[in-house]
Amino acid sequence: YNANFQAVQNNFSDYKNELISSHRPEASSLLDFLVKDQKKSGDISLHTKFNLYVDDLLKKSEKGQIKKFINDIKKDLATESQLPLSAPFKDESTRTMTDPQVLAYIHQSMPYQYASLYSVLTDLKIVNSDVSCKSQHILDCGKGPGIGALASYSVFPTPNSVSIVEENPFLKKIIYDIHHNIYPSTSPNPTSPVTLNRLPLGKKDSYTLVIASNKLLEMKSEKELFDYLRSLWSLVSNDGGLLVLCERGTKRGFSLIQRARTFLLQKSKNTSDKQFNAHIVAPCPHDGRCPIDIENGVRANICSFKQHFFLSPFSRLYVPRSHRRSSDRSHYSYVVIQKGITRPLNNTTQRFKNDEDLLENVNVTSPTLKNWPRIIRPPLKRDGHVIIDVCDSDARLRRNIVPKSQGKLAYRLARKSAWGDLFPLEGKVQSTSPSSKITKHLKDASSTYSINPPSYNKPKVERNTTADPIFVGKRFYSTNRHKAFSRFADFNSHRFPCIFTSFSCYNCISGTRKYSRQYSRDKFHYNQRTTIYYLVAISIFALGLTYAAVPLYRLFCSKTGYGGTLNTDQSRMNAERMVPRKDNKRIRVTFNGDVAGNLSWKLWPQQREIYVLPGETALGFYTAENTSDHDIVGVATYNIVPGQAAVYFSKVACFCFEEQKLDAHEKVDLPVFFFIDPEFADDPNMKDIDDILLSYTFFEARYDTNGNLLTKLN
Amino acid sequence: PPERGSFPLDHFGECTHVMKQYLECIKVKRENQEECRLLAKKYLQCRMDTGLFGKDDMKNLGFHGDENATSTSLSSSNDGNNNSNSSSSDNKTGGE
Repeated sequence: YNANFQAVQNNFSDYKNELISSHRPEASSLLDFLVKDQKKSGDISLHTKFNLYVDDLLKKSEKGQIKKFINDIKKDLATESQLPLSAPFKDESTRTMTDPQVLAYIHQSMPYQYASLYSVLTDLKIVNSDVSCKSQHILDCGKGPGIGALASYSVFPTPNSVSIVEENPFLKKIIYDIHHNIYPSTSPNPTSPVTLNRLPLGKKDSYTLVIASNKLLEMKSEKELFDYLRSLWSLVSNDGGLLVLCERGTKRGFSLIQRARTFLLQKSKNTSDKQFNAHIVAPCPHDGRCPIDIENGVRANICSFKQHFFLSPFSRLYVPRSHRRSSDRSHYSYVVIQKGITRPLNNTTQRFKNDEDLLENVNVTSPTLKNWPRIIRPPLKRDGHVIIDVCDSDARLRRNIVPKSQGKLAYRLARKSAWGDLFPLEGKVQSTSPSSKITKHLKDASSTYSINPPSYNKPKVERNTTADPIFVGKRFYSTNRHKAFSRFADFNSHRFPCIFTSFSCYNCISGTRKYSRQYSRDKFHYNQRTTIYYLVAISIFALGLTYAAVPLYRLFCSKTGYGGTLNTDQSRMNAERMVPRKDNKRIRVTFNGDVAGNLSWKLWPQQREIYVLPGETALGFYTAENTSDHDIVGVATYNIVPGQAAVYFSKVACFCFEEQKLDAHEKVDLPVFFFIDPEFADDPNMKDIDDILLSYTFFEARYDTNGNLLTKLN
Repeated sequence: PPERGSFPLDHFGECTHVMKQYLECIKVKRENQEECRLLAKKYLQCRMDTGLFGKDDMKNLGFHGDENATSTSLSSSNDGNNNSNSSSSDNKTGGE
């Protein structure tokens, strides 16, 4: 008991220590940074005055035109997501826009751009905290009414000087109204912004922050793009100036960002001058080659982020009721490049593996933050573990799995992690590009799991990473399937062109969605068509059945002798059946003869009765006499009483159903050769039948003018 | 219609004598006994020979040959009859 008590006591003291240690003030600063400081709010919206201003503008202009242009923009966005990257696509520049077009553009993209720029600048502030202290010289050359400048007003509280590049006169007027009449009251900015027609190439190295949002998509050619980037880069201050490039979070947008990034890094590497040194501030924690492969990557093929925000009231104008939203998420892809300062060395950055590390390493210093891995996918928060995909400082994609067993704090951090966060924690289980794969369901995937690899901190920058199937966990499509898809698409392209067009963009998320929508629509059409085919087939079959019913019924009756119809089935008349059943009693067959109507014939049986066994053939005779003075043709029919015995009364030969011509006063013998089917003896219904009456009746055969017999007998 | 169709009319009464024998037999025996069946067979044979009935094996008409065992004397006379009948029928058909 004592020992037990001691153990409990020890445990309790351990627990107390743990509690105390976890509440150490130094520790909480790091944790606070990870859990609170770096988190971005989704509560972003444009200023009310600005909203009212745009509202006013929109209402004043012509409704139909605006609607038309809004639809055009939407259509453009849709085609952009569907086109393959190789196809040419270009955003319209504001230079050539008409006034209503400008308004439609503001209506459609302004809140989105504002949210993404706000988010980008907040990121920048987190990583590069000295940005907010210095006074900024901002150059906004983005598309739209100086949105970058607007965002920077709200992010940087320090006084700034702002220049905005815009050519369109109408937009210039809007910019003037916004920045001079509306914002001065809210921003601490004493100097009013300058509007420029084109890039101020004369003022080299004078801007500390150059923002170009949604501008790269306007470029027609590679050359134009690189020229533009070159001139932008030349404007950035040598002393730690920043260039912010931001595009839509589509495949094309990201590809442009990626290209611009490589171009600028390459440019800075070529010049040995330290002044032109370039390094990435956000989102990449490295200056190496981007590990994301747009073409061959599997769903994880773009690096983009999302920012929640509240739509402005004017976004509800000219939009169908079903499409009105109060909030949305802006999807964007960005890069921030700093000039003139080198990246802090990679090995000075801390790595955290477990709770002790997290508690020990407490100083969150700004420069090292640049080397912290960034979460580039929404973390998968599962039962007892969290799967976090990061882009790491060694220019590789890495998947961290943080289970509960890694430690309370680590698990909590992982649980709280969000897409776009910095995440310095190493997962207990990791898998890294390019060789290792996580997917168990891929047969050829040689999965290499490493638990806390020791050689982690070695600098591995400038490693050429190939197409990378790492992010093929539960949610992502596997590479193999992806290839199969494309093969299928190629194979079927000539047959299903409509499916193929949607296949061409299956890489991007919207594409897959589109594909599934298309697929379900096709399936629906297919189902509909099949149903119609079935219905038509059934109705034709039913129609045919009604025609076939009469002959079929006859066939049925003659086969079964149903309803007193003669049994004329050939199979029942073969020799095997004509075997007398000697065990059975003999049946009396009585004969009767009649003449119908005014036929002047006489018909009488030669014998009154014959006793036969079932299966025994027997011969009976009638005599017919023509009593008139002229030749007469007669037709005979016969009848069996009782009716149910008719089934078994088989005739081998008789004088029935055929026209018999008797000369005047002629008298002939008419034989009947018959047998009773041996099954008669086995039928319980025939047990009580001892007598069968065979009755013949002669009719006069009448003919019409064509010589057809009128008397119908069967 | 029955399997073998109708018996054609025996306008000249060629087989009437066999018929009369048969009817006599039935009247006496009251039942369709073996002797009477033999006469029935003979009648059908007569019909076949005169061309008034399709030629066929007697087995197909339900005569399995057990009648022959009981009365061999009759069968021998039958054969003679058959021969004469067949020859006459041939003449007849030729004449017609």
